[in-house]
Amino acid sequence: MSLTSTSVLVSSPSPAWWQLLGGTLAAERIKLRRTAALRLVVGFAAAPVLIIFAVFYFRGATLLTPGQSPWVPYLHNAWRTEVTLLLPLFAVLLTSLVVQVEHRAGTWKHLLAQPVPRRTLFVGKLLTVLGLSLLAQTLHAALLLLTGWLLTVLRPELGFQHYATPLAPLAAAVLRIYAGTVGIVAVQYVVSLAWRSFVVPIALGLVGTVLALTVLRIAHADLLPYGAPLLTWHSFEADGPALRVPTALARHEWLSLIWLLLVLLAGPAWVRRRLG
Amino acid sequence: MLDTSLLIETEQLSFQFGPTPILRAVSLQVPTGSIYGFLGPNGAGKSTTLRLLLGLLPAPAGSVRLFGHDLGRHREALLRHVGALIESPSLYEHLSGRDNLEATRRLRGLPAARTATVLALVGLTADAHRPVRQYSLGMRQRLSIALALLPDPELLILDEPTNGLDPNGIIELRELLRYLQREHGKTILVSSHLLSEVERVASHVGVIRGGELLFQGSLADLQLHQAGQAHIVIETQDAAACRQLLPAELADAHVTSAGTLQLPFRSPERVAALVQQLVAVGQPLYQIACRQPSLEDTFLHLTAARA
Repeated sequence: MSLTSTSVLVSSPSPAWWQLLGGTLAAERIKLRRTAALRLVVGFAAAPVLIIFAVFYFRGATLLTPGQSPWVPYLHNAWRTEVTLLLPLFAVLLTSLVVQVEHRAGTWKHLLAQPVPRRTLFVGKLLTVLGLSLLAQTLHAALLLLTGWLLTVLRPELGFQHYATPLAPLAAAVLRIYAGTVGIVAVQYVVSLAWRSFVVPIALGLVGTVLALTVLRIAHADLLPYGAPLLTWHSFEADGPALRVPTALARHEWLSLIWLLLVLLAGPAWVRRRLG
Repeated sequence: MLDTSLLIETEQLSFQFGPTPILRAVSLQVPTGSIYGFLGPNGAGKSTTLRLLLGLLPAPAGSVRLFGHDLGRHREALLRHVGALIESPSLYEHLSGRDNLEATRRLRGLPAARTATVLALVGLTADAHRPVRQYSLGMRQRLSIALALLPDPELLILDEPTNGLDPNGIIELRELLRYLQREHGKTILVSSHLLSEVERVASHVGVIRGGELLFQGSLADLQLHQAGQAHIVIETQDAAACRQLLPAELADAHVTSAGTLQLPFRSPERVAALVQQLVAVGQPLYQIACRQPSLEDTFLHLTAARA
């Protein structure tokens, strides 16, 4: 190989960042096939909806308030079930499962030897977890709508058909709960990358969630990302005839986004030191 | 000084894990278009060297140049032309062989046709749809080699690629390496702890032990090196008596058993003179032989722990 041709090697144009990120995301999508992470997404979205649907199907009349849309107790109770414990644990488990795909296969050295910036690999996998989390919460919301409409047919006496479907509050709730989740995902992502053992991130997630729920009402408790989804749920107004979900992001949701930003900025360097 | 005939060039490369030195001033020189056998016993520092060549470890001392360029400054641009298999196969067991390749192909933005090409090269086309968890160790190793070949790299770095391969698989791999070098002009750096695995394909060898590069050169250079290791074995009645009788002539001889002397081969003339002198002092000669160590002996001699 001549000097000219070796010079061409380094002077040839590099792929644009979005091409590299697109390639990383495509690779992550392939790696997700037949994984427990995908099954968890479906299970998380469907299981709590089936519970609330069964409750309303068999005992719905006892949960209704005269003059109030049945959508209000239906959605409000469904979200309470979701955010109190399920959502933080889902975020913890999902993040660990996605990262464990690499730890179990021992593929870090293979990935890090590819001509892709390490930051891109880091961001690509984080975006994959965030995407799966959004997919799960969107699917959860879609199933809530679907089962609500199903109740208009199966249990017309509950009166779902007499009220407009609360699409706007539903969309706002999904986005705000999601904003409250990204901080948990971000923190858990760094911990899952840095420790090859499944135990460390799960233990941290459990302790963080229980601690956040315990100190939820204490000042500055919102600095802990694990309580953010529940704080979001507390901001929903379910006393009136219709459900009201404020559209502006609350302080704990901004803090959750700041956690994500911090991880994006500092995560790659820290994780590189841990992975070697 | 930039040497464009070298595809890999390290200069005084050192590395240590904590206080333990792993590599000591290794200056590797892999010529363009060669098959370079990187030899050494387990724990000699081969994998650490290869990791440094791929930028997987930061080099605290020394430099790494690939294609004549500093790896630290042009890591991604240079790695686009490198395919590597480091240590044991790194595969996603839940995916099929084809999906394992597809994940890396998409990551690197390579043409779709490469997947089928490399599957055919390693003979895994028929099994490409099966989950990797059902693969034998040899099939996993072949799939890992396919992953390294995926970008059609100019430089192929293979760390112990014959691990898990049966004799037929080893022969096929040798053929593949020869084919890639001869027909496609690839430069191949292949590490092994067994000389026999690479001596039939390598044009150049480097021998490392305890983090030190003990020998580096062409296979012909290694053969010259072993020629210098030839020795004479003399079978007589009393080896110790011979040494006493001819102290100057047998100063560099070792008594290896009661009736056996061993000394370095210098020249045929010296052998003839020695025979005459032994007969002259009345010592019987039962057998005299000139022995040249095999490549394997040379390798073992180089890599044996120093007393």
